[in-house]
Amino acid sequence: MSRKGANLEALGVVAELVPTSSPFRLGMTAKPKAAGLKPFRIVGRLQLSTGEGTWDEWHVSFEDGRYGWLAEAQGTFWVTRPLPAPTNPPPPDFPQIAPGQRLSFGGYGEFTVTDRRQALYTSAEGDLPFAATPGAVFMYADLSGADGSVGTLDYGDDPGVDAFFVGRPVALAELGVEGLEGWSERKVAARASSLNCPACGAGLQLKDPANTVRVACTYCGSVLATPQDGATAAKFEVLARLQKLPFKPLLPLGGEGTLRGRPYAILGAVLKACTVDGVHYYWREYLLKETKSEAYHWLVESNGHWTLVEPAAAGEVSTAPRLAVYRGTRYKHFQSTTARVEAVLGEFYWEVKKGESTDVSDYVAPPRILSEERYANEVTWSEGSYVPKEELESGFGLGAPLPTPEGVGSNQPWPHAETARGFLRTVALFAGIAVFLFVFFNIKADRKVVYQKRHDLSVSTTDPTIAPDAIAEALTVVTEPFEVPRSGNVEARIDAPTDNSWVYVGAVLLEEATGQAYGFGLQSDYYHGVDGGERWSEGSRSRTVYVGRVPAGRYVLRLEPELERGKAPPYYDIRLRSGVPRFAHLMAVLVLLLLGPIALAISKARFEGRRWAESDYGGGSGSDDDE
Amino acid sequence: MLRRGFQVFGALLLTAYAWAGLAGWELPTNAKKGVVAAGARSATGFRAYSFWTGGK
Repeated sequence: MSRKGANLEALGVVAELVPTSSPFRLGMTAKPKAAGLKPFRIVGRLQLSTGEGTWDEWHVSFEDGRYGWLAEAQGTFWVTRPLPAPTNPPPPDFPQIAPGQRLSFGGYGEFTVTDRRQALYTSAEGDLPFAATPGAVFMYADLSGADGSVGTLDYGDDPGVDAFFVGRPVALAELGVEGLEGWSERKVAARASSLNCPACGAGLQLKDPANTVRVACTYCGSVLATPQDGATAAKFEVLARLQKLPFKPLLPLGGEGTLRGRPYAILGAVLKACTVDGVHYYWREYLLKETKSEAYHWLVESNGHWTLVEPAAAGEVSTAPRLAVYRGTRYKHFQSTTARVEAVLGEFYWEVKKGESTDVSDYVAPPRILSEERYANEVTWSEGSYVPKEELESGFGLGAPLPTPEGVGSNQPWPHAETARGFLRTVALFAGIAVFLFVFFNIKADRKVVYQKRHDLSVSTTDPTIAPDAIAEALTVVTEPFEVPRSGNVEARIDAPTDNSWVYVGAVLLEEATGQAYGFGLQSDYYHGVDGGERWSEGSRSRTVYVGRVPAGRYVLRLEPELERGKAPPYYDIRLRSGVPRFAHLMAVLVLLLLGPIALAISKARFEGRRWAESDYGGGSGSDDDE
Repeated sequence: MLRRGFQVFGALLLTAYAWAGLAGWELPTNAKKGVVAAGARSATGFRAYSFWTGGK
């Protein structure tokens, strides 16, 4: 009945309400714990259908006299309120609106169209704010806001917008609905929780009977469906008869466990596949029910790699070429493909069909993954997190270990990330100590010049009559004794004005008392010129060598030059210093300390290379050797 | 395990660096070390050119 003025008008015969899994009932009151929500009472119920499923929307009256709607789908709950329809700019008409489209509604913010459908009013009870004629078709578009809000554009039965609703998703516990039935009680009340497979006779236990509309027998694989008339859906009919299981799930369907602190029941498994360059790739998706919040999540297994997936708010995702950003995390595009359902097992809340396909795009930010699925009338986003198989084995109490992962998963985190952080901390600490030691050595160092003298080469080499041996003997000198005051290294430096010439000085540092001798060579050579208009030069006029662990004592230095007669420089300078700190040693320590992180960086680069080899940008498959 | 091994490696490296800095140790070069015969340590012995070139 509809109230028009003072008269009541009959709208038609209202069909019987279809039993649904809704936890709400007419007359329930709520004191929401969620901020911004006032206490309300459920005063009306509208039942709607797209032909693929039936759902409820509850008309609620707030204590401030305003009204709104409480909607639910797949374990998610929204409270919305009517607002004046946007005018600047106005929303597109229904034929122009498309899933995935981004709309800017001025002060209302930005929204993404997630769903665009036609539905019909199937039944109703209680007070409703408008006349919902049973069987009347209406059009709507669901929106997801960039600020986490949700919205609906209600087009009614014409292309123009009739009403605009905006609200927020609210967890069931946050709604504070009094007298709420628990999940376990509700499932028994709605439908039987056990049945015998009509195909093979095996006994099946349903975990989510209130919501299940498809069951694939876990013994024979036959697909069972609820009759079209949901009101009498006490039993399932055979939709497709199979003789054997189409695949063997790795997780026990119907099993329960805890993952990341949340209790889950495993409802069903879907074998999916895609074809790339003629090659079929398979993976399995396990439908989970989070038994506390009633939300549906997924565990996706591909080549032994596991990912826990939850719905993501499409409005909060922004995309750019090869990039998606969700709640501050940047995800790189990994691959896009068309996924199709190959086989199903277990129970499902939607009419899953073998062969149904969807366009999927995956974006990764290991260990997270963001996925977009596009259907004709709908676009959905989900976010997943990599789960090591050991976590699953303990979380679900699996008796046998899960298969070892093969290759690198698309969102598998690099296994040495924690080690790398430890390495970098170690390098930072040890490098700091090394620098401190270097500063200490510099403060403590003598750098004392123990010998310094210029040695003449000019006289002997310019006289052509002198024999070579005589020149060598004439140029060889043994210095007067000098003191090396402290044990340590000695720095020997040669400096000569070589000009397209060279001089080599064989040196021996000799301790007078012990006869301990340290032999070394010093060379000065410098060549330069112009070749093809380009200036060039090579060599060095000065060079330094170090002699290690020289004890303190009294020393002499023997110097025997070798040179090219007629081209030698006129002189060379020799300087000896004791106790000179070595910057090169510090650099060697730092380089050696970096070897660990460098090895890990190479390991990471190889790991990423193998990951991306499996992407749209890989051009082939990576090797299977593990890190 | 890998991390512990690297910490041990780093500690040994720092110990070696500290020892090298204090002892004046140098990386091996072409420098040669030897002892001149006791009889040649007189002022005339190693100061003579023939002492060094006699073996050639």
